[in-house]
Amino acid sequence: MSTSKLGATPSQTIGPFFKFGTEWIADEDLVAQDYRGAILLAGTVFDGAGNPVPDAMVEIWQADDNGKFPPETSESWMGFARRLTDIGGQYRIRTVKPGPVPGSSGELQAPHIFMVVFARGLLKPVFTRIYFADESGANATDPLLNAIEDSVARSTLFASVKSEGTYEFDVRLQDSERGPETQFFGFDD
Amino acid sequence: MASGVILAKPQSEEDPPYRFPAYQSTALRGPNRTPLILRPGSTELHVPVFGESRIRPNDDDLTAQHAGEPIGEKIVVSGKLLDSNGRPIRNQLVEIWQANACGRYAHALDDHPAPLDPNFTGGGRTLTDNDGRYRFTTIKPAAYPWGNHPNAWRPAHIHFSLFGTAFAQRLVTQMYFPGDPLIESDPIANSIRDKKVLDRLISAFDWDLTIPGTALGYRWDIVLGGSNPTPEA
Repeated sequence: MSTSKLGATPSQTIGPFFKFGTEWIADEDLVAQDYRGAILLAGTVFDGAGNPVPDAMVEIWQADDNGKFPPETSESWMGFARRLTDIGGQYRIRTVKPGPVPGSSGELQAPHIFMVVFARGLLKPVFTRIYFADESGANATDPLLNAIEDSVARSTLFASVKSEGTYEFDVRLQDSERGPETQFFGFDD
Repeated sequence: MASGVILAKPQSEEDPPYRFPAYQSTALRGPNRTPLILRPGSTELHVPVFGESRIRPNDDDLTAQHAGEPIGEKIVVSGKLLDSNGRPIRNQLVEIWQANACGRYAHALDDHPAPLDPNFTGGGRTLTDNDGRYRFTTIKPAAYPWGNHPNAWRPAHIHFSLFGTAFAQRLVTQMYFPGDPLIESDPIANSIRDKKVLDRLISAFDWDLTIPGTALGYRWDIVLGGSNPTPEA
């Protein structure tokens, strides 16, 4: 590590009043309804009292169905969606299951979506990964899932199949009657 | 753990903690468990591309988004978006939002009894240029009271939302103004425990950005860390 690195700008909360600044891109889906393999990803953000968080900003970022990222994708592939949670703390995004992408050592990982959540009361965002409960074969060999020894923590990373093509992924900021705190991730500076 | 995808390291102490009792909203929202430090994979190392087509004229001039001129002190806020090696982050989206010159947000739930300004919404966006530079024209926001503790006031600030060259660098933060006496009593600012790190959020008055007769200038550079994942041994 070089000591000449610039100090990183620290995080501050998004606060409660971001709607008019961030909603301009908060209604786009990743794919159209008639896209082959389109799925619906939906869920609720809960606080430590088990109450929905109605003022969170949720973003997802993922590879396309071939496991590619821009600029190696078709131009229409944004790979990104933002939602402002509704009064019930819910978000809903139409996307596709991403193809497998390489991990930090080049090995293939199970399909996953990266998610970040911002809210009043979060001085820095929470980052997590969404895996798919119906990908048990790929999940069994995923390096990150296998590295998480706590099975309860690992269980929080799966989107469940609600119905054909609809997946549910809740974010629990703390333990509550809604379930265990979601496993969150950080990154090395 | 053979792949070493989880690093045996604590999270950076420079960012605020999730749980910070002086900022009451953290109590039920800040996670209790320590995040696992992830060696980023391909997903975390890529980032969305927001093209020019998404930016409209006047998205970077918050004083020109309505029929009339907003009330308040016109300012220019500009700086560079850099990675921790000082390299510019080019053509990347920068979003801002802020209160108006009276300390009121254009948000339905802001009940501060200060006037709204029909000529000021307070949201802007732009793309950085080839040197990583961004530039906004806006109105200096005012301080405003909030309910965190008795006689609590937020220092004047502008919210910034930033993307780097890797999604793991995603950052939302707040820029403060130099010499603001409210900073030292603000729990949100002081959730950053190292004063030198907090200073990175305070802009600098800059004559070079000032437009004579029109606007004072503030310079604020932004550094996104985490851009250099630990290489494989």
